[in-house]
Amino acid sequence: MMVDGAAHFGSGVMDLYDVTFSDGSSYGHNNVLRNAAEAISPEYGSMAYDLGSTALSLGGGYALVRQSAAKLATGESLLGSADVIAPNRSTLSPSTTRPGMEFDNYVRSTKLRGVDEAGLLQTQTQLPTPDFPGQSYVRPDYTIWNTQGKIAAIADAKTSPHIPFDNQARGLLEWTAATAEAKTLIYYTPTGESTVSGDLLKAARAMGVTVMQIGVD
Amino acid sequence: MVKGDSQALKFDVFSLSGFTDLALVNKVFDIFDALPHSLQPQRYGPYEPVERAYDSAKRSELVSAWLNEECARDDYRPQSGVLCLKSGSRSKAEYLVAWSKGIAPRFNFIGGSATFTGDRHSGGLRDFVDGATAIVTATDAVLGLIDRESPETNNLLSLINLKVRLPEPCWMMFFGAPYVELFGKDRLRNAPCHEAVELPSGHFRLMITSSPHEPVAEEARTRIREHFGRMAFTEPGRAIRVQKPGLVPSFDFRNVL
Repeated sequence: MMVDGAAHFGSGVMDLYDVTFSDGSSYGHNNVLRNAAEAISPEYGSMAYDLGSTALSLGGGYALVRQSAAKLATGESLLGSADVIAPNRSTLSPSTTRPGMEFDNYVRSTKLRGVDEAGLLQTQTQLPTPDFPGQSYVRPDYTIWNTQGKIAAIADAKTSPHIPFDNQARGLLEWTAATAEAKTLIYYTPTGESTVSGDLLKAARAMGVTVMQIGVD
Repeated sequence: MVKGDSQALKFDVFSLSGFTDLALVNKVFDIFDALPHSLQPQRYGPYEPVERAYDSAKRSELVSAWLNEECARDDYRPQSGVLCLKSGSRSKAEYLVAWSKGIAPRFNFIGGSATFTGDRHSGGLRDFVDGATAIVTATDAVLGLIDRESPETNNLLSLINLKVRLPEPCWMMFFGAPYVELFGKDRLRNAPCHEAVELPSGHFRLMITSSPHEPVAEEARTRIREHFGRMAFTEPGRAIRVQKPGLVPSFDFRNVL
């Protein structure tokens, strides 16, 4: 099937195995990995040194996307299907049981439902942070891909009334600057009115990233 | 500013100097240490919570934190670093240093913000501006900006990408060598603004309006845009990421590669 620059949707369902772009490239598993690596390596210096593990991590996360696509292709509903929603245990964080996880899932099933159903959402991807004291990686709650196989945006869900510039925020900024096409880091919060750390805003300006807060309720 | 009101100011300094150069690092710490107590850092760290006590007598620890030596190994030197510094006073002064080296070079950065009240800390505002000016000089900045801090200066349209265009004209702007070369000294001296001064460092400081307490009027911004060329500045109302490169200097990224 030839689709010009866009993923194919059949009956509202995207089949990740059956999408070919007009330049002849396909949107299969390996291409997603290759594109992910390409998206990371040319735009980033220090983070790219561990590209192997990044690709591995993305690959593991992609298994979730692939599984979802397979389910969707057979007409099975994604939402409410626990075995599809369940994270890939080989790659996802133990923090899936952490407080706030219900909100994470709520965001996924509301604001991110469309991209999730299109198979363009990854959760809890492990991203290396070699230059962070005391922490070798961060895990964004959501990595949103575009149909070109590149990261469109990175996002986190936060229930706290204040978004600090902690190690997670710093890592998400770094990775957003390095890989995300839109250079936008999204925070989903209950009301959209959480205060944002001044340091986070300064770091965002330094890295050329827009911080966007979206209220979910 | 009306007595009792508070006003938050921020500065952003973009530099292409090597931020691992010890002379530069020490100059910036000298500037922090020379600030009045209300604006001086009291704590520092790589991210929040910022918990380590800032002791100017322990300069080597501060320099080590700036250089991110905690992440150094025998076979690896950190290629980036972030240092947050916070005061403990009512001014809520905060500073952030971000540097990196990489194949996709970006500008090294020092940002700061502080809150001033009309009745008690008006003197601090001048110290804050002087400190920012000193940082511009010490880092041989490409561009420095001082402006009010407000929600509209932190929105989607405020993102800065000097590789594409200059940001919107703001209250005070410092132009470094690449922009002096691009625009020429005469055009900078004759800019339609409250004051245009050439600093001993060779930077040009443009004060667009007399006071930082009010937003820069659109007419004043337009005069600046038209004087330097609309293609030099971000297009009003459009995010920088969707704009085509305009009038941009030839930047030398060698120190950040």
